[in-house]
Amino acid sequence: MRLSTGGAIDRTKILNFTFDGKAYQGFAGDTLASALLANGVKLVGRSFKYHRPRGILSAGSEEPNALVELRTGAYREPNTRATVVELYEGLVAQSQNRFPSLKYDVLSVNGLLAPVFAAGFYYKTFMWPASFWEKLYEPMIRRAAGLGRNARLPDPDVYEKSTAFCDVLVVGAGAAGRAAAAQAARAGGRVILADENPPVSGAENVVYLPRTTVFGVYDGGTYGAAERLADHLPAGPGPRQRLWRIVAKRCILASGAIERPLVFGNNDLPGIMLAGAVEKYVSHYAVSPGRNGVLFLNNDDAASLIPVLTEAGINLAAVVDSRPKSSPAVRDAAVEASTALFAGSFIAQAFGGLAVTGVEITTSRGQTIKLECDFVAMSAGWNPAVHLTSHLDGKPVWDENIAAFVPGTLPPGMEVVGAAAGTGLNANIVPLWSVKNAGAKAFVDFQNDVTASDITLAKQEGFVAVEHLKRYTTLGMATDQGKTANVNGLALMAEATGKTVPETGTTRFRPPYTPVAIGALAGPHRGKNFRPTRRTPTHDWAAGLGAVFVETGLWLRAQYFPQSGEDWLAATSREVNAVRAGVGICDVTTLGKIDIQGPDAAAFLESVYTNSWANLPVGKARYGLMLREDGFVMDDGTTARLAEDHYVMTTTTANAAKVFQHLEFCHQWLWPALAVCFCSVTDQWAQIAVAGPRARDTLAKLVDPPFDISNAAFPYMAAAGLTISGTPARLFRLSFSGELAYEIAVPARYGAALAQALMEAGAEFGITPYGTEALGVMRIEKGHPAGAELNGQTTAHDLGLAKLFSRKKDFIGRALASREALTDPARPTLIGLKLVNQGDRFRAGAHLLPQNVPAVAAHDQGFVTSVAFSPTLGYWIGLGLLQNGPARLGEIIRVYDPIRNGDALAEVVSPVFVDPEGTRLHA
Amino acid sequence: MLEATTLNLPGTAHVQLAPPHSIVSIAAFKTTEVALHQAATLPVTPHYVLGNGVMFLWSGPASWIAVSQAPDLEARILRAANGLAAVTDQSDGRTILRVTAPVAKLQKLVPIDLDESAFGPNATALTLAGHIPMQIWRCKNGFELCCFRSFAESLYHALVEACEV
Repeated sequence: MRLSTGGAIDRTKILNFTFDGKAYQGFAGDTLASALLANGVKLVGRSFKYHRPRGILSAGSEEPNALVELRTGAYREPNTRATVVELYEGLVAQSQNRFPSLKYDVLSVNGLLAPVFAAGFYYKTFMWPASFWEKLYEPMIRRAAGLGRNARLPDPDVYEKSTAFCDVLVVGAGAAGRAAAAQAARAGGRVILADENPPVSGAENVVYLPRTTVFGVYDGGTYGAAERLADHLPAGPGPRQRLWRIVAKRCILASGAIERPLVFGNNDLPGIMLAGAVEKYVSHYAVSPGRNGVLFLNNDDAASLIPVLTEAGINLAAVVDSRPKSSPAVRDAAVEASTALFAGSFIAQAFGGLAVTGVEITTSRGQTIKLECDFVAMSAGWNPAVHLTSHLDGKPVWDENIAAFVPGTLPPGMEVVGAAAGTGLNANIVPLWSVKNAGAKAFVDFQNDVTASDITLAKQEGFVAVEHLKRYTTLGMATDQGKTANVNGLALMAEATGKTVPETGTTRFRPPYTPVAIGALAGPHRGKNFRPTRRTPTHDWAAGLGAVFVETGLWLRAQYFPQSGEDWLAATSREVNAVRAGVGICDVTTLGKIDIQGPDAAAFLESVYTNSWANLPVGKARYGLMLREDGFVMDDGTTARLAEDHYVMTTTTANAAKVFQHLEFCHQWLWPALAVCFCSVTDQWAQIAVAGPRARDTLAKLVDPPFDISNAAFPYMAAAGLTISGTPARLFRLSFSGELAYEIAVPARYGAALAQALMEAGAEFGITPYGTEALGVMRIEKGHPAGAELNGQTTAHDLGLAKLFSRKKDFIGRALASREALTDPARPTLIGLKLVNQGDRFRAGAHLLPQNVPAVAAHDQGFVTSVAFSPTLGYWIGLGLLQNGPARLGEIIRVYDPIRNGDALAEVVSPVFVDPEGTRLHA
Repeated sequence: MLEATTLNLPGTAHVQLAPPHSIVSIAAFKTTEVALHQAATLPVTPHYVLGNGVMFLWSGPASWIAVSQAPDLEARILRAANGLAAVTDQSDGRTILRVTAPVAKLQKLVPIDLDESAFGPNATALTLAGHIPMQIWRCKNGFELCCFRSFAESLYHALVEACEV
């Protein structure tokens, strides 16, 4: 209920909100939790396993119980802690994990099955009959599992990311943190002060980030933080959250401390709360959790609640102090408040249905006293919030004096101040890890429903190591990371095993300290912006012609140019026919181009390629095969010699960066003395393939005299610099299509104009733009290996390229490529495939088996790597890798594709389907 | 000459496509590195030097890029380098975008410290803008970011989103 005076809330600003469909009011400055308590709402959730009624336990981000679904529709966010939700006008929240309602939850019957649902029950149940697992048990468990529900719609919020640098990052803007920030600011330098709570006053010369949780410590003095820009406002267009990567030379951790609950029977009833939380609700929010309470404690700190209750006019029926003689501080406070004090006593159990109605106290003399109350404030002492100190594997250290863990080894650059360091905590504490013989379930981990008897069970079953305790009971594994549970849990295990707490140890805390929205981690990198897009110089030109584009890595490449009514197959077939009959152009800019210069360039090429390079004349290009160190094929391409010490290497599109890195690695690490340098020129030059019997005629119209493009002057594999309408250009006579072909390159700004000029020059020859589909069809028709065959698992031998191994020099991969297993003819080797029933089709990925044997893995002899419809031949063709392939030409084998229901017979043929003599190349 | 195409990236309040520059990559050969430093003053730390209308920026170990509005830069540098370095034209391979937004906006994309205390007047760095590799240096009123031409559109959109919101 709301107190009529006091608090830091703004009583002039009334806010309307709903919870489970019912309308309530609160004030600006309330959290959802304080507003619910002000309205007398105690029941806010149902526990995970047993569906027990649960209320608000705390006043902070450590809250395990009051988890709600906030907002609706696509904005709906599950598992939101009501204790940190700032109330705003129109807020809509729903409780979770109950059906049909919070008050009448059908699954609370789970409570009756409690003995079945003890820790680790799922290791012992749902096993029989085995057939029930898939159709019944698993779906049932999935439905019952989890607390809140995800919206299952795309997240409509916008998030930002940023990096900040500072000399000092102060985590926590309480008294200790503010003092540390002020001191750091006076010393000069950049200071950032971050706190998870809403803003109080600013701080001079300090970048103050309120509503910002520093959730993780990472290497290099880097901290992750999540700033909630608009969570406290109705949904709007601006960024909702901002993810910070803060790089700080020093960090001062002033994260305070988190109170521990006491473990006694039914300590999870709504209305039973942490004493510090009760104090905060009363003094900060002017909210009382009830009219008549009991305080149960084992330390002096919690005594500060007593005068606060008195001043607010809230009755305290009793103070129950587990310490045999209590303490002067507690005695004096009880006397002052005229409240009964039971020293050396315990609350054995609490009573109530949907909220606490009373407690049973066991006195020091063994008497049992029943007291009525409508709230209980409990304190087992405070745990310094050491989580961030352990993200880089530092282990907290047990301080016997305060019966709590304090920071141990710290991340580099971090120091800890205030309560987080254990200062001023737990005066005169006598640890009480649980009340024995509780007579009812006594909870240790509220969120995962782990009780004191679960810990006893774990010990019984041998799971005594603290890491096993955690995983067997799931203690500490919920969304609250066990902030109010871990220490109680491991201390109980220590008691059960007769060890000390330090001997039992702790589990690790890992980031994030509190949950972080995945949207915040993504920031602007979503949807199309997940990765950058790379465009070729002819992109707009191709788009203007109606090209359909395909993603090749980061690149967009024109895939085919459909004319009206054409699907991809019709367009592709038309393009292939046009190239083989006349001439076509295709943008090949994306293939990696590496400029290689230096007196030792040739020697370097000799070492990275399998074949010879020293004898390549200036003005010629050559196909090159590049292996990995382990003898497998890495990449292929053509390299041209433009001058004595000047080469241009091409690579496949996919491997451009990888090959560049490989060359740099080889130079820097293997042969650092070589005088050779590399420069990526993939973007510098727009490169267009001009292919087909009329390719020369087309280009002849464009090249500036005196350049001689005749077959005699510029034969197959020639390379030269020239000009096109005065524009510097490079011409290479290379062919991927098997036709008479060239590749012409101009500086990228002229790429679109070059494409246009080629189309005009070739118009009389029926010039046609073609895309990657047609490019692919033609290279399959010619049996050229490409990405599907250069898959990282094939050797030169597999691809019929072993003839490219020079015997006169060493090269990367030579030694390991000659291993027996890699030259075994029984390895799947490149062949062509032609279906017996030519009207049929087949697909890449289908497996190759002999006829008349069962289709099982033991008989698998290879697979289909590439497939295309050949308009040149009029039927589907493919390339594949088949054991002993080249020795089996003419054999009929089975092409088996159970995933796509394919099962056909095919003839093993040469992979070169079109123009096997290669006469067109040399035309 | 064939017609040159300019990237269609309209200027906004804080992000502009720089006018075309000559950009040339220079890389010292191992065997001539010492001679090259004797012949020319090239920065050996991540900084740039400016002289005669040409900016020479450190671009990696024993690597630099030369940036200038003057044409014929490649030819001039080839002559000056005189075989002591690999010289490669990058005038079409790279695009330069100018950003005049407050540093805090740019830090949404750039993960290194751009504060004056850490990234001074002649500083340059090879780093990222979001997921796009680029080289950055200070210029009058702001920063210049130089990326591979094929990334220019993506970089432009990322900068506009970061700086104009």
